[in-house]
Amino acid sequence: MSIWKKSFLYMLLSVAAFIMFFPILYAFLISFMQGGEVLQGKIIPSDFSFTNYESAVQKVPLLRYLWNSFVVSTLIMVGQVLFCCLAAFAFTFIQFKGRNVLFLIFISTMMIPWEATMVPNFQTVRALGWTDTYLGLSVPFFAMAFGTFLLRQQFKTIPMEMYEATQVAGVNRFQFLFKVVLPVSKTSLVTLAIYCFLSAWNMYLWPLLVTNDERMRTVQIGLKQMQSQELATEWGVVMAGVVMVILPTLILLFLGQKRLQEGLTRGAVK
Amino acid sequence: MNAIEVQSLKKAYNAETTILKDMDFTVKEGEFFAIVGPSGCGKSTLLRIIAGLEQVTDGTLIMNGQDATYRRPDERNISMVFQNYALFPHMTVAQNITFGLHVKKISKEEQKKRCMEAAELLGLQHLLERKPRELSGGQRQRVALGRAIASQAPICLMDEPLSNLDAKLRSKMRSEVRQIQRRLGMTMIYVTHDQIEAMTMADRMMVLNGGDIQQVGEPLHVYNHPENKFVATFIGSPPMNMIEATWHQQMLQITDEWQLKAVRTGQEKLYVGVRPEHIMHASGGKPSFIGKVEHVEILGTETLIMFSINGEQWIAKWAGQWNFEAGEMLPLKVDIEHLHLFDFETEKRVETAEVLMMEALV
Repeated sequence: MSIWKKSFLYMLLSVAAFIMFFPILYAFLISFMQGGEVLQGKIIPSDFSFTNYESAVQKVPLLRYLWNSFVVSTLIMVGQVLFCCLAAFAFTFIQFKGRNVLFLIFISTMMIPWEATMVPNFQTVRALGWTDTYLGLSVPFFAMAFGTFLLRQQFKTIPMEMYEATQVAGVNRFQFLFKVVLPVSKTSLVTLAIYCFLSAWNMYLWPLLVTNDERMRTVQIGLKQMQSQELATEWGVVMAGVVMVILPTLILLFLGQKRLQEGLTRGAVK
Repeated sequence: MNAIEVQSLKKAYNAETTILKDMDFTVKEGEFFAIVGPSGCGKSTLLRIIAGLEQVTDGTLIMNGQDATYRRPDERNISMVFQNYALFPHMTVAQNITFGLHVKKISKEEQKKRCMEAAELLGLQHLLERKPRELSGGQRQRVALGRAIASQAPICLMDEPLSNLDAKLRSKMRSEVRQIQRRLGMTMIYVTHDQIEAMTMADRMMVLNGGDIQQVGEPLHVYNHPENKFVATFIGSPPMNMIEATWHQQMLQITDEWQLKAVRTGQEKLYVGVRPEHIMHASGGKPSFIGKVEHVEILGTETLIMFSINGEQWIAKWAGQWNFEAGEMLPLKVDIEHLHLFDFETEKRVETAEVLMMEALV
């Protein structure tokens, strides 16, 4: 590729990246603007002060929300990876009658939108008395077909002979899972973990349903609250909140970018 | 003592598909026992049943004097080497060799000792810290072998372990595996589709076809006295030449000009087989038949001559270098003692001496 072609391509990519990233950039800039500056259509704030951030933290218990979101997302991440690992292991390495049928039924649940199962899930959680608890927020997301499917695809690339070799050596299934399968599947596990964390972090509807207590709400609800608390929304403050909320997401994405790419496309191209 | 006794063993996946039919054989302690057959003959299934990775449908399996039919693989005291080696990609060579030893409550020092011994035996000392992907095919094969050695199990099962190697390395590994087996005195059950491996390595070999035992015996005995037509054509390279012969009163008519005086058996027809190396140039004497040369392959030390007789293509193998034009008529001779006869219906061996009169060359 000639240098001209290359620089042209990179320019095109930079422009596209700028357009894609503009809303976030704009939100970041707005978070420093005072009062009417937003409505005046300014792009660059007159002054970079953190007053908006301070009032965002004061208006709603945003730090508490951040902590809640962090706990819930971590719980969902750990729980989902654990359960998906075990399910995928069974679907890959353990022979039992009706395994394929069961797996088909299992992944067909991906076709049911989450919103459709919301009502029965809510009733179950309420019957268990789990409203306003971390359990109620996280447990319904532990068993997910997508994660199981992703890991099963990865596990299937491990030759059956490895499993048989461990059987001959007398190493049991759990040791095989922890000593062989998981280390070999590191990339897919990291992908799934990041994916889980991000989608849990961005949840809105479910936390809204199962929490009434201020102390248990998560960040996405907090943002909505900020927006609708007053008639005249102070966009600067809301955007300050938004920036604080998306920061962990961005950091995680940045750190796991390579792994995420590898993992999501694995098995797709073969 | 018998290391393994297989008694009327059967394996079927369902009523229609029978993989193994009623098998009986024994493997002696310290023996190199090769199971050979074409693909799909059930040889790998048999090995997996011995390993306990697959269940029998019926029959008994006795290992080291104890009934092991329904034992778990790790209770059978075996080691196994797989075709794709089954090495763990995230572990070093040393970890791969000692894999599984901790389960058997073997101390760290003992593990290390065994690892070093195995590595020394296989010439892997300088590779112990490497990962499998940094090794060549032959080295990976050695690591897989090292795991079997380090486990010190008395019985070692091998499932086509050399088939992923190139020809040169394969012949080197053949002799290496054989030497290690002798030195350690292991009982080895070795599955292969390659009859050369079976011939060159085994103390005894078992030929399988379609889930049935065709013949069990020492390689040379199997080669010289094949029990049936299948064994005759499967063992030996190039394969045994085969032709149909018909009876004319007390004469066995093999080709139009080649007939032999014989004691007639019941059947109308017989199969007559000749090994390629037993077909010789008539050189002045009375030829058994005339072959029309079709193609000649000169390999340097030997020459393969493809010729047609009565519409069949036969191969002769002569030492040295010979050159013939295609279409040339070649007078050829076969001694009677080198003829193999097989029943036309059952394809079972018919002893040559019972049928043919030795002096009766017509």
